Amino acid sequence: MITFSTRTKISFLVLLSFLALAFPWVSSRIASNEIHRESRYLMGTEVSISLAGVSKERARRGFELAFGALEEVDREMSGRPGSPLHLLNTSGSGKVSQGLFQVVSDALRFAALSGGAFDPTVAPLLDLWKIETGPHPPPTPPEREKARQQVGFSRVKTDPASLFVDLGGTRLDLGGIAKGYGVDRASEALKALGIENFIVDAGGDLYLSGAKNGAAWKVGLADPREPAKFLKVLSPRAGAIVTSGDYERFYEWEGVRHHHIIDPSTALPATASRSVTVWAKTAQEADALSTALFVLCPEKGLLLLKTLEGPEALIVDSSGLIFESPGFSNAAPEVSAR
Amino acid sequence: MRRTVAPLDLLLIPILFAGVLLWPGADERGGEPLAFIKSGGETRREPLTPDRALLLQGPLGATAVRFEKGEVFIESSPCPEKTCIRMGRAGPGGGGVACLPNRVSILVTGKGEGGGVDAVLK
Repeated sequence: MITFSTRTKISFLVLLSFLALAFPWVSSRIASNEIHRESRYLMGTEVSISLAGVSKERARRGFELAFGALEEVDREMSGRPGSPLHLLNTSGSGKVSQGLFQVVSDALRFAALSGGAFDPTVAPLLDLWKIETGPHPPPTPPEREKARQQVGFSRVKTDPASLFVDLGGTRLDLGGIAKGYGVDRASEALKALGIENFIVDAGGDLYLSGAKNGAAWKVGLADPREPAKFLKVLSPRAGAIVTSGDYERFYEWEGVRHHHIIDPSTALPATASRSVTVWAKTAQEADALSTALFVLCPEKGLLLLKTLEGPEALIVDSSGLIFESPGFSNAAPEVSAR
Repeated sequence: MRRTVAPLDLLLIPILFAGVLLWPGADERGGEPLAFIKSGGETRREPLTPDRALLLQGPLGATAVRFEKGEVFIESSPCPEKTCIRMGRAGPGGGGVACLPNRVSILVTGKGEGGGVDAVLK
């Protein structure tokens, strides 16, 4: 048995008090098994970021930088009144920021690549359909034709030296690409901070990196006809994975589903597929390609993928049949949910 | 009177300290399927049973969320499209329902938050 003097006991109590007081500071700086999550409403959707293997303090800094990057993209490219994109659309031409110029240029590149299936000048058609306002009679054929004549990515001219964009009488909607661009910027911000294990999720536009406590991240793929349930659970490789579907934003009128992915060539909602999921190295590429493949029929979409190096796709066609590109199961293998 | 302390007692200090440090991760493991419901900037964890209803306030008004037979779904919503109501029911196999206009989202995971899916492609 050891006996302690009063002085020793007091020293012992002082040490314990110190540990108790230091605990919040110490624990905030120790990487734990906790998954840190934060969500904000940006770019018209719920954006969630999950971080693993980092301290609370580092997670706080990561959220600050990543959401900051997303907020900047949202401010610039949302199209809200007063935003730089809105100003460009109302003036018809002008000098833009490096970031906006980059996204417009990339959007035009994907438009050319997909033969116009993805087209950032689809804004007049989206404004006509107003899907987000709920059930109402769809536009008439003359109304559709009038709006369709304002669409065409080849109208837009850009000058990289002066960052000047001339819209050629059309208007831009970057909804099919800016969210992916924002996810990429947020992911870069996290990596620059040395955070390697994370998911940036902008309403289903995902970028995944690393793992959570040694286990792979798992992602549920919504069933397009019963979106509350999963069609599959996937464990994608590091990179981006994005789904475009006809079930996320739609209304029904006289038994017909009208959704938000408009085929620029017909001025009607695209009908070949129910959902298209694309894995790619960047969220911007996955975002643009998922829209392009949704507008194209599955066969044409898969042919387009063959011409590209990297992206893979899973397509649920209009009858529910599933088509996969040859490398999809390697890029995003199916796993058990548990 | 001098009280005595056994040397092994001293081991309790680092053990207790380590236990407290690791505790935040403990609720991520095991357990029954849970619904993580986000609304009004807060996330709440709800078991899928028993049957009950919740009213969640969003910018457009109240969204009614119902738990029934181990599944959860949005019963009524003030949003214009009502897409959230047509999304169906998320059950113990995992799934998600969301009303973006009214800023309500529900993610049902498998066994605890760490055991199910981490995100939903939608």
